[in-house]
Amino acid sequence: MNEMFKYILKKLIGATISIAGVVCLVFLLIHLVPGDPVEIMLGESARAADKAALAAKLGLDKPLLQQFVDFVYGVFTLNFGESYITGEPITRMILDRLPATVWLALASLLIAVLIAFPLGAIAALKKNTLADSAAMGFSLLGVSIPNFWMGQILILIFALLLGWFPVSGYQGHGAIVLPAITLGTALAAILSRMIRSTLLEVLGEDYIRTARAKGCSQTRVIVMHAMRNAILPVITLIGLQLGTLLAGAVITEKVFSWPGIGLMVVESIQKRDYPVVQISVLLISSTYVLVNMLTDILYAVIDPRIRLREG
Amino acid sequence: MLRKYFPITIVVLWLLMIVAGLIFPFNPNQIDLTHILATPGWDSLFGNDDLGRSILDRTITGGFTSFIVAAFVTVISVVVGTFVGCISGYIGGWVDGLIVRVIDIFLAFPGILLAIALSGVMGPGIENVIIALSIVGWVGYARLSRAQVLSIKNREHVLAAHALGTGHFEIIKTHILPLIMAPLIVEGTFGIAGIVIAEAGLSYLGLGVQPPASSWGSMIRDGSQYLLVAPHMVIAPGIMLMLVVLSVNLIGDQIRDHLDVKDVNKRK
Repeated sequence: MNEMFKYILKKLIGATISIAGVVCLVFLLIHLVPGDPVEIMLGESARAADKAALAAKLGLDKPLLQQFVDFVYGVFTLNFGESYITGEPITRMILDRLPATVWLALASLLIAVLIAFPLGAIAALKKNTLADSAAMGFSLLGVSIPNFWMGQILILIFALLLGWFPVSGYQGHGAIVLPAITLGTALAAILSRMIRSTLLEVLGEDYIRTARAKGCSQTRVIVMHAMRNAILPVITLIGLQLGTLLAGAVITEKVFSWPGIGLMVVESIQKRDYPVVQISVLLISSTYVLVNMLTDILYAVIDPRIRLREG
Repeated sequence: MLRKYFPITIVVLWLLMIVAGLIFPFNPNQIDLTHILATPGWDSLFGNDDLGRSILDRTITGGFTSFIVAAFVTVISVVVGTFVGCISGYIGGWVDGLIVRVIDIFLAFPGILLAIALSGVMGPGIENVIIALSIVGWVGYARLSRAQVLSIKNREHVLAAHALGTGHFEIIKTHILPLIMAPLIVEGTFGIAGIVIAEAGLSYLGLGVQPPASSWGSMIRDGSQYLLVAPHMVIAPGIMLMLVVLSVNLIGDQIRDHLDVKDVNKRK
């Protein structure tokens, strides 16, 4: 258990450094950009008094170092400030939006897994046949169709023409279906490729031959022997992708007006509400880092070779 | 046959859009109120949009936009990323440690979130899209080239060059770079597809080119308001976008098989 502890500690330190870097980068975001952020937020024609008031409110009139210290202090004490447009606490805004994003992420993941596992398994078992080409063709198509176009086409067919699902929004039955399919199929495209290639590697192993020789059924060979060994890299990929999904599928949420974190980022950018943009990007990226860290640790728990090699 | 020549054909078509824009008198911004939302027909092949502008012309100039962005971002990212990655892998020590940390921090931003935030703060415009996507894009090439340099910098021919007193710059240029080009080219090809999607995505969010200039992404956004009455506004640029991305990905697969590069992503 000792090397496990060391491994977790190492991952924790790495994640902490990454998040610290993200905090710096997010702080610098509005300072790196040429031009006065206050002028950009209020427009060039704003009165000097308004500009001064906003600068004072956001602390932009203080020296840069002081601003940085204040920002880091705010992050540490989880006091993220408030939206400069509505005055609402940013923490509150994010908590309001979080459930929608989490639901969408889980639903998309479910769809992706349901599509990708059978597809990848069929492609691997029937390698170089029509079924394989069809499955991989689907996968390539899924990677090549941008989410926002896929979303529009789904809306056109299933919401406008057939009327099965609502066009957009959060309310109503089945509102989650179209955005989840949009995200899920894109994810399934990546996953099924990965499942196919790892399964192909595993299927050549001796223990598969042994399992077959002792008379295991095809299903049992695939599910009990091949899948269990092939699943490790797939878990990493799912972890990475879950991070991306939780992080708010920004564009997809925009397409369906799905009121999650991603849509909030887009809306704040349009309203030039920079404090909200900064904090959301910070929280999204930190979640992403943490999910990835947990994935690494989970991977090490499942497969002792990982922690022994790296620990 | 189809598999081999189809992607090349599409990419050539994409490149022709750039030349065509210079030779033929397109009127992507010509407002024609008598043809508002006109469906495709013989007088206008892809139909017209909500201002009566020709969708064919706008699709072609949109292809120009996406190509310019893809070309600039790919060149900048590959050059900067390879440079940083080579330096990092070659020098090693604390410099390498520092650069790896910086790379990790950039990789901590999921998807194109950082690009969205950057272009959001910088404001719309094609230059800002190029800057934002390059800031995000160099990281992948830096990580890849660093890993490659690490794997070959202790090979005999590099050690021999050291022993002969060859300068560091010369060693990187003539003894290391040529050997790490293959995976970089493959990654770069797939990268083009990613950037075409990213540019369209940013434009879709209204963070890309400024109107009236056209981009496939902004055309899809404009069309989304008229989805039921004029689906052709969304379908034409979308199919073009999909075909280009699909073709670039297929060409990437072909180059990878040709150069015999194993899965690039596995070489972390």
